Amino acid sequence: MKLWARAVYGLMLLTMATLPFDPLLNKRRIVYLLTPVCIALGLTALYICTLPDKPRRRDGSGS
Amino acid sequence: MIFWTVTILGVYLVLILAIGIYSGRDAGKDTESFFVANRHLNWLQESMAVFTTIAPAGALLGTIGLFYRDGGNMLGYIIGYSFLMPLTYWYVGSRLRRLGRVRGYQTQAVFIRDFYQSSYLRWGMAIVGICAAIPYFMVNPVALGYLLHRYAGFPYPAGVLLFVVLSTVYTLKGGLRAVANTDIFHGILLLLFLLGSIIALVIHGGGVVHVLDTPKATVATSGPGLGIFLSWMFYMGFGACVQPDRCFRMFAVRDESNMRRGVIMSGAMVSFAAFSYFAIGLAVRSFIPDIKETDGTLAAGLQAAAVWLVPWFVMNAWGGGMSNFTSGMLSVANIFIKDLFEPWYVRRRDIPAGPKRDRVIILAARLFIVVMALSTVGVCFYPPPFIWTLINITHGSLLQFFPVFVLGFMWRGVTRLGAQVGWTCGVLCMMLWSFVYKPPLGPLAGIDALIVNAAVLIVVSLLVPEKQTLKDQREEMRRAAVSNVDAIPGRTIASPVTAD
Repeated sequence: MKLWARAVYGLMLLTMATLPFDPLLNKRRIVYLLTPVCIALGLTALYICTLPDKPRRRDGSGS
Repeated sequence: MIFWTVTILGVYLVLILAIGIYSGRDAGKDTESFFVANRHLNWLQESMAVFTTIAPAGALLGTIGLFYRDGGNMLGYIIGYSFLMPLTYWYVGSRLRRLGRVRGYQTQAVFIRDFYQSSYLRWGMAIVGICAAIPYFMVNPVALGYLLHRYAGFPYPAGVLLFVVLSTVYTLKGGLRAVANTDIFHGILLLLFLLGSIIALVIHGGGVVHVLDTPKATVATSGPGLGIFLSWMFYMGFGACVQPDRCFRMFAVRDESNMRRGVIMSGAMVSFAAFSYFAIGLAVRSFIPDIKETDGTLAAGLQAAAVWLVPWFVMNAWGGGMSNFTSGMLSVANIFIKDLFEPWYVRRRDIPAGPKRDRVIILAARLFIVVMALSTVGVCFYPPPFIWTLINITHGSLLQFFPVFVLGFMWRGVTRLGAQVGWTCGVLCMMLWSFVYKPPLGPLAGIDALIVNAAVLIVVSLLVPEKQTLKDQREEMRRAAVSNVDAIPGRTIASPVTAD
């Protein structure tokens, strides 16, 4: 779950950071409307990323 | 409008003073209660404090002007605050909070000294921290004095004095707890104001589609525009976790859960604020395309589109300014007392810890705050011409601590010499690119210097070996920084858990 959330967060960051290199961006200004959606998804993923791991049993079988 | 401006601001200031004084009833016992609120801040206090410090009066004036001027190229600012700032703040902040609880740290400088066993880095952090914060918070009353004079006809000196006296009174009385509780009030009003401004200005600008239908809404794919995009992204994303006025709250958060919620909430609120600057900048440009003094962008837009919001603008600018000013004063006093005065005083007088020492330390802290308030008044009446250059340089110098913190926690190969040489190279490069040459990659010399700094730190750490004892000490602190310190009473190092 955490790995999945980290991947989403990284993807959101990468998407936003590469905005100027997107050839479609300058033609489709509506993309800016997606910015808040990206931010919301990114923050949700960050929240999940920062959750602590559940304590594991000594036999390694998980909780 | 003058009547409403004075009335709204007057009521607001009375409420702020009441909240500040009431919140800080028991804050003057010792430095733990005064500077870090007994390490008991909750997520709302933490997130609102970070949000209002990051979105001060300067943001409503200067930053919105930058979005108006540079349009989509400033999206780097939004990305920096939305994605990088929460991540770096969490990564560094959660570790410093745990170490602070275990070892009693209240400032970053002492942590740096222990982590790298380096007095050089410790003094660098303390001196740059003080030099960075003082001019930054001192410019707040200048802007707000002019603002009150312009929109309420209030004499400039009286406005400055009102601002400085009120802010200083509740800071002296309540320390961090008073500042944090007033920040909640500031923050809620600021969020409502930004929401109202976006709606009013975008509607006046012809709607969302019309406001976005401008070349200014695009990001440059090359040249200076791309430099602006990338520089702001990293400047905002990496800066918050090393600036003293923002990050001394890391030490004050109650527990892990509140830290996590605080980081996420501050990220969400700062994202909203940054996005609203973008929307406001583009909206104002759609109906007033030729503003020369861009600091007045929001005021000009509101006067054209929703004049009833102008008094709320003045009030929120004051609120943001007071938040930034009080947290700046408190963080500088914290550095001065914990890094300079207290070690000197204890060494000189050899007084054991106890109520007598606490009384003297708190008295010194309050006197220092009063001296800073008086100095601020002097700066407001005789502003030095180089103050903005000073602010840029000191902020850039603080940014050079970013690799020292992040690589220090992240990479076992980091060495003391690497951190010292990297930071020094970063500061020197920033001076060079500020005064002699133009920065090669973008408008902000601090970012270019940061790249050199990180590269030098890594290369020196790899090439020059270090004593194993130093490495072991650092590794022990890394383990303590990911320990579950909240579950165990007292200041003992707990067993490591995977916290993030």
